[in-house]
Amino acid sequence: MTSDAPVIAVEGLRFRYGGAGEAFSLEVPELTIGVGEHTALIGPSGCGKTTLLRLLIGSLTPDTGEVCVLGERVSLMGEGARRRVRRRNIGMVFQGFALLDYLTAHQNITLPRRLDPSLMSARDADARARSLAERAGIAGLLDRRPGRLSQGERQRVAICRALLASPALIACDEPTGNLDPARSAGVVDLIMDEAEAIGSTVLFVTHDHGLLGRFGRVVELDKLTTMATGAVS
Amino acid sequence: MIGALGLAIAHARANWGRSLVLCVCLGVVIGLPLVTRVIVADFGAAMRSRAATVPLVVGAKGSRFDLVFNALHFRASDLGPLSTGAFAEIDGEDGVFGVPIHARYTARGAPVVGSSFDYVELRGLRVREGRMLAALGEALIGSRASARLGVGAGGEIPTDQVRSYDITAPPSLMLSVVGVLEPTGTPDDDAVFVDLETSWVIEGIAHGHEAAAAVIDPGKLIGRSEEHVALSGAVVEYQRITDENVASFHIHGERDDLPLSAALLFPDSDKTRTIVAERINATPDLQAVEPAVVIDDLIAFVVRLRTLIDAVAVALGAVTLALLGLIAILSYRARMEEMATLREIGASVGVVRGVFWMEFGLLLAGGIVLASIGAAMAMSFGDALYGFVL
Repeated sequence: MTSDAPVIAVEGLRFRYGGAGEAFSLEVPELTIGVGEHTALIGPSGCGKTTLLRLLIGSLTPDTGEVCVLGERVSLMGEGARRRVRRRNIGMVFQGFALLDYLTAHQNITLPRRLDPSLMSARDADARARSLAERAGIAGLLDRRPGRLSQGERQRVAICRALLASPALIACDEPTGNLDPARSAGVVDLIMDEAEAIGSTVLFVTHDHGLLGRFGRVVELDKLTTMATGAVS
Repeated sequence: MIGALGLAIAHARANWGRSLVLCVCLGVVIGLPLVTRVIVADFGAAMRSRAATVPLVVGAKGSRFDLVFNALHFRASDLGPLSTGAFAEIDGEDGVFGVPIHARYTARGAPVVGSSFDYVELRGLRVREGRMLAALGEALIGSRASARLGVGAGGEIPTDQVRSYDITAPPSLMLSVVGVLEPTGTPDDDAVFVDLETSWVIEGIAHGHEAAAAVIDPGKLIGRSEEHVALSGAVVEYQRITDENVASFHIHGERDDLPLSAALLFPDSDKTRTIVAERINATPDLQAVEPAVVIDDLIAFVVRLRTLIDAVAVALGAVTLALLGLIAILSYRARMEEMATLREIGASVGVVRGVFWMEFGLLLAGGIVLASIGAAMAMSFGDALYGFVL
């Protein structure tokens, strides 16, 4: 990783995917997201926002083209190396929270450390988890399992988990999709404030235009990409 | 991998009911054949070691298993009696030493064994508390029977009434326990020992009552002549032998006809054993058997039975493993979302797979621990189990 490299750099990306009887092709000629940028990725439902996000963080491998995360060519890496890049540099927030229901809120927040003890010491992870939970307003809920938390509380736990290791990139896949407008604003505020505090770059996928005012840059997928739909040959 | 192990433990703990059921299922599948083997091995060793100490057992013709179990393990049998006269004849032969056994009755469930002092010497029985037998109506109690019945030296124990509603049956006799034996880890620990005369009192062949000559109550008197007094059944027999009434105890009939249930024979050579056994087996009423051979036959039968139990356990195990496989598949499907989350946040392939398989490893380990505990308990309770079975 080079210090002056953009957080994400895409060139000539092409990815073909689809279900039975139908195939989609997603093409991104070029995209660069710089350090500390807060970028919203918007577009109508089904336009490939989540697919693009997963390509950018190395969850999916493009058919052609190049994706670099913090200067590392993740598109050329093997699965293990891409996972390591995600684990150490990217904090993910999902629409469905994706909490492990058998862990307490505290254990969910410190999950990244459990998966990679080299990220930080257990004591630091505990202190950081409590500090994040305090700011997220869930300090009193750390011993509860997700089943005993409201949707808003669960999303806050998920955000705290993404922020635990102070990642260079916070990738959010429609984290407000299941929340009402008031809670959505609260979640965005939390992410942006914490990102600001630790200097993280934010890539925020949403179709809620009401949230766009919080972002320094808005990328419309329709204008960025060429989407093709057709029968599987 | 530590992370995966931690997650596996957390998942197993959060779903503790399911984990417990799976652990127990695995424990049963692994433990059943293991415990069966331990018990059969222990049982066989204990039976063989006791049988090996006695070259021949003699008794009435009938089931050889009944005879050996009566002579060595004091189990009541339906075999006919071995008369004292027949025993004396065998015991008097050159090169043969015999120990009489009378084991037909019980006291509060414990077998009452009538024998001679030779038995005490033969088995190396030692008194832990109290003293040896000295008089009619006294008893020594085995250590396990003492603990089970809560009776020690100085206590009393009634023999069990054989036929409660039969007024002609001998009444229960109160035995005075004068000593408790040291534990031996054999059926002797579960028995109550008396002398042969006491066992004949228990059987009703010997009895004590008020002196016939002194009876004047016409209700107790059937007839009187200068030589004989005939008493009616209304004369009450003593049910406790005391210093005052012990002299009144007597036997009706010939001493040679008094019954034993078996006798242990110790020939001085293999040749003598063969000759004695052949001669006894040629008689119409008696049989002589080698306990070691009889027990080997029994163990062979038990081992065949164990093979059957093993086969059942294998079938049970196959079904359980199939069910566990089904549970594993369903559990994996139910946790695919969790696996996807772990992948997305960068968990290594090993951790993602490890979370799932380590939990099964933990459950398997739990099952093995349960099975081991079962086997250890079977071993530690071996003596008790042995006493319970026999």
